[in-house]
Amino acid sequence: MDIAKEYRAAPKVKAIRSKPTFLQSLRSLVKHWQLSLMLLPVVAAFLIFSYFPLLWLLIAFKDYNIGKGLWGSPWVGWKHFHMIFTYPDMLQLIRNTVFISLLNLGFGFPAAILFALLLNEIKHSAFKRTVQTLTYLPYFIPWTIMAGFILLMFSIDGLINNVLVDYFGLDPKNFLTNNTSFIQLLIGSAIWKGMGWSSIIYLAAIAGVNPQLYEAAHIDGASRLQRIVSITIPSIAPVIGITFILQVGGLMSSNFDQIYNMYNAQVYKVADVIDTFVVRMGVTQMQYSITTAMGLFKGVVGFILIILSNYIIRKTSDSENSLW
Amino acid sequence: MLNKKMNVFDYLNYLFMTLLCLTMIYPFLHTFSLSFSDPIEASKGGFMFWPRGFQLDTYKGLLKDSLFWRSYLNIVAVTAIGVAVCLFLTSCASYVLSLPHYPFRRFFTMFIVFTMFFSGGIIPSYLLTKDLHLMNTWIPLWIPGVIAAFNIILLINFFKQIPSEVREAAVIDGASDFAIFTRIVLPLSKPVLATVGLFLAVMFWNDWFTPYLYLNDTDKYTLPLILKKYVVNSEIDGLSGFVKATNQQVLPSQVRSTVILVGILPTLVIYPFIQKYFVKGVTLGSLKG
Repeated sequence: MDIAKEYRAAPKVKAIRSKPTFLQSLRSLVKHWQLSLMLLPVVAAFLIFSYFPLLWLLIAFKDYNIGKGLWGSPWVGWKHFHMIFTYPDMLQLIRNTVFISLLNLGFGFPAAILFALLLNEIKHSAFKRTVQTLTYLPYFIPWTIMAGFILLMFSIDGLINNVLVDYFGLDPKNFLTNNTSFIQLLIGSAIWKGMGWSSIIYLAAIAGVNPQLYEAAHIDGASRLQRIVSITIPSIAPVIGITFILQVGGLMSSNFDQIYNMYNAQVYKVADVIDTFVVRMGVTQMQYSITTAMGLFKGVVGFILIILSNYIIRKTSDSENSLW
Repeated sequence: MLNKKMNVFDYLNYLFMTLLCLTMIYPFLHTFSLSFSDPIEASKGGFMFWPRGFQLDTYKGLLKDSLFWRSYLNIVAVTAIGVAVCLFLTSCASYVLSLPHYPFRRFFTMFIVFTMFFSGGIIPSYLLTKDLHLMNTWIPLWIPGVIAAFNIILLINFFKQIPSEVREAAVIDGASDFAIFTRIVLPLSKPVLATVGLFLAVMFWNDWFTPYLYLNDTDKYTLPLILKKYVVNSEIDGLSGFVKATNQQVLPSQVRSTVILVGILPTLVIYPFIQKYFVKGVTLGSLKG
């Protein structure tokens, strides 16, 4: 991220220009009042809608009661956290969340890279453009519609079952209520929908590789696979590193929109994740305190994961590969 | 690039890409054909490449469904207003944060970036919206657009590329900061504004969860809510009345197909023309490399 780079570069700039004091900065805030006014609405929106909700995190430590409100509700300390960690379903929720994310990380993440590498090998630009246009398209179709497609294809009277019954003489199978096949559908449809779109960033990185490297390798007699392994992949490593950090940071948040639109009570055992549980219990059953505690737990773990994976990548490779 | 000759790998690669594209197109084709097919033919199942037979009952039924059209108009309004307001506010703030001389610039940028990594979660935002009496209004639908950290960073990165001489020349000519922004910077940034505007439009147009949380008055419903109701939960409610209004003979899957098709038609029509802007946005907005 450019900003991150700037922060690193900042001390040098400071050394040249003497740093304005806090008071001078405040004065210049007023001096540039037009600019300040332009910035104000967005800062206010962030304050109210991103930072102010953090106050409501307090209700994770209170027994929240709508009548008494945020401040009036009684403090209960770590009660809700004790509850969620002794709650038998909680372990399953965490396991489901992490398991689905790991599957997405294990299959979806490499799929996009592999797709970008393969697409890059296509030489006919018209064909390449067509493939790109078609593979980016599903990204723009919302999960509500995707769930509709999946129903049309995989439900008990859907296309796949028709084919299985008519052509192969098999018994129809309900893919959407079977634990294993539901998870397969979940991961498969996520890859199908997102692969093309996620590959854009890698394609852009590949396009930025110096073509002379390839020519030199060609003269040295490197095969196509060798060129990919020793030129292309190292060149896009920074991008891979950063996308990886962001994905690891999302380990505790599986694709909420997808699961909430696709799942049903029969597959709760494998498909119910923290986010879907929070919405079901919190919003529809008004269990605010405990679901806030779960959200807080999730947020803190996600935040730690981002910092940790960034730290590890920075320590084990070039700092270019990390987020900051 | 280097060797133009096709080898086995190339043929397999082309074959793979072709098959992949077919899987991308087929669901749309199937939906299209199913929605127009004759119910008796459609009930035979199997692959649908072309409509078998012909009927328009499902379309006529949907045409009469006032809830559907209401939500369609609403989503157009939500998207149009949302894009205009959010784009203006976001670009104002991003421009200010791109100016090296603006005080506390680094603090404000960190203030925005932090929200990308940590948030209070669904319930705190929900309770805040309730306490602010914003339930059943469209305001919570628009807010994530104004505070989309990704878009702000994308715009900051773009504005930084505008040479500072442009600004300095305008200052000497006596232009105010706001005039510089509206008369010089904005016109220079049309392509990137189009890109961010499209990002916002897609976000508003496809957002189902926010309206699901905050809207309960059907007059204010947006299209994704109706789509969810008709497409995903069709067997429970929603469709039953609409199917009766059309024709008892029509298959539920045909009604579902019709709703899907009419629901995403605008996306499908506009998509080929705007796709390139998105690609530019993704490349510009993210990551240092």
